[in-house]
Amino acid sequence: MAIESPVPENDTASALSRRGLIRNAAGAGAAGLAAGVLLNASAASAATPGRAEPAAQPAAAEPDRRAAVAEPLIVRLPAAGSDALDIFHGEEHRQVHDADLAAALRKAAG
Amino acid sequence: MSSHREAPEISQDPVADSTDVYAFVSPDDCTKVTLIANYIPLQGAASGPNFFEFGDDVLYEIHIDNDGDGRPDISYQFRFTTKLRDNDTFLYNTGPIGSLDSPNWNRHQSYTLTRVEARGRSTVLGTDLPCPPCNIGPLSTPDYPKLADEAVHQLGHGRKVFAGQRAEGFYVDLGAIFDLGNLRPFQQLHNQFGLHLFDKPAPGVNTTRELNVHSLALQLPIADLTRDGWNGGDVDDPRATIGVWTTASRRAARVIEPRTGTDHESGPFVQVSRLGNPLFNEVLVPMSRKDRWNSLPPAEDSQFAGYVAKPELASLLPSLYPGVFPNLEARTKAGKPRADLLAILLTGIPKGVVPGFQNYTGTVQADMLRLNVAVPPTVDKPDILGLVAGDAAGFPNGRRVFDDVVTVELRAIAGVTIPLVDPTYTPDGAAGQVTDGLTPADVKNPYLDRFPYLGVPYDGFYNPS
Repeated sequence: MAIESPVPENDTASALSRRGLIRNAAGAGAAGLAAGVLLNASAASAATPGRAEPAAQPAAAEPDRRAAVAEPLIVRLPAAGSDALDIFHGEEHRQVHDADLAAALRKAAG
Repeated sequence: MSSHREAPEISQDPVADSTDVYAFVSPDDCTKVTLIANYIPLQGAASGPNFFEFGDDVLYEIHIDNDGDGRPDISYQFRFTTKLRDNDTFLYNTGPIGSLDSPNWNRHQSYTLTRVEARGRSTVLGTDLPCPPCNIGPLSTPDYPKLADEAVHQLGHGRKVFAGQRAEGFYVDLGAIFDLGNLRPFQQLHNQFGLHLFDKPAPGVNTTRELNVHSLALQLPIADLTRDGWNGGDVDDPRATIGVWTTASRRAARVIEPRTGTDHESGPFVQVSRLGNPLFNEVLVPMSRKDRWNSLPPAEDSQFAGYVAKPELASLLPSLYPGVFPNLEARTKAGKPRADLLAILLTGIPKGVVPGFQNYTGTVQADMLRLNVAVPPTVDKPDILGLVAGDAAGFPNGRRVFDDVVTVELRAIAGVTIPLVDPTYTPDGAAGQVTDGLTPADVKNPYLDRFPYLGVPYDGFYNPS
């Protein structure tokens, strides 16, 4: 039977769990590749920032922006034939309109 | 059940599934309100090696509306973090857990509590607040009440918080209710669809007996919750009533990484679960719209008001129990909307309907648990039937942990509350008798008379099934 002692200093988050990776996300994959392109595109184009439907949002709190910088982002093309792109990054959702980029991503997706 | 697995989508996501909300003026300190939101339904006590815990990837909130618009004026946000003390064991604990910092407890959880005001002010009330472990058994958690007491955290100015496992306090005969409404105490009166199986009454069976939930519990000064910090004694003051509900939210986007057992989530939190009044989404909202209901704020509930005004169950009762509810049947067939239910569930009860009581929040139809904080707690012999039995400190004036909300709502739907708005209506004799046949005596581990009020959770050794 183990004897109780003070909390060990190597107390670690469960980094191997799915939840752990949410906090320590590093690998980006295809979404990350698109992310770099899209960040530039959104800055250069007439971006239309927008959060998801306000009715579905929890009470506003200050997003952890330092964590967000380290996270990969996820991009969605919501509708065929549309130039809209949804960008999910950190705790933000922005929608940008870029016909060329949307077409390029669809082409890349096959 | 109250809201356990009440909608198709959330039934597949138990960590984010709210089960019950309670709000009451604390019986042991009438200057404070206790708010409890339960999550993770139907926990079997013997759940090793991966015992139940809150979701690190879920934003849990308890909301307060104090101006009657069905939107949060104050929200209490809980965010959890889970850690391992030993990455090389498969065990939740490697010896008895005698304290919350025990090195024998391998997988442990803590949280940050933040108070957010609609005007944008955000205040962190506590960080790294430890949860207790689950109640495992006499060797692993030999003094569970001590562990739970350690997990009650003082936040200053009399505020308290607790987050962790408790005994399920909601009692219901789910097996009978969803077997075509066959309430055991009246099963001999059921039409039985011609099967002739039951010829005498039987006692109810508590589906949630010996099961656990995870509770988010707060005890707060009344002035923390009311408009303008009101803390008076006038029951009729519009500032006396607050609306309470809980939500759980998940990030908008998720990618499962191959070959790693990990995933990545991004984007804003999006609401996936909601609960105010017990049984609202479960019993009133049709299956096809339950998931949508879970995604919306109370402010948009007018679109569901038709299901309250003409509840499906009110039309089913007379056909399930032939000849037992003739007055209800006649009124239902006449198509008269149920103004009593609309008031109780969506606007609150206006002044003048129940002598000496009101919990009206205005014309906005919103499913919230409405609590008039000026009504003092009933300390001596509270009635589990609450307001309909003359105990104004109980449901639907808020909700206490022991209130028999199933019976109250069954009787309300059966017509006992119609005379509140239509004195010409005479309820059927059975309407005041209908019940699923359960009381707090059917809850094995007793409620506590102090915060967090729900009983000690069942351990897996003595309650293995």
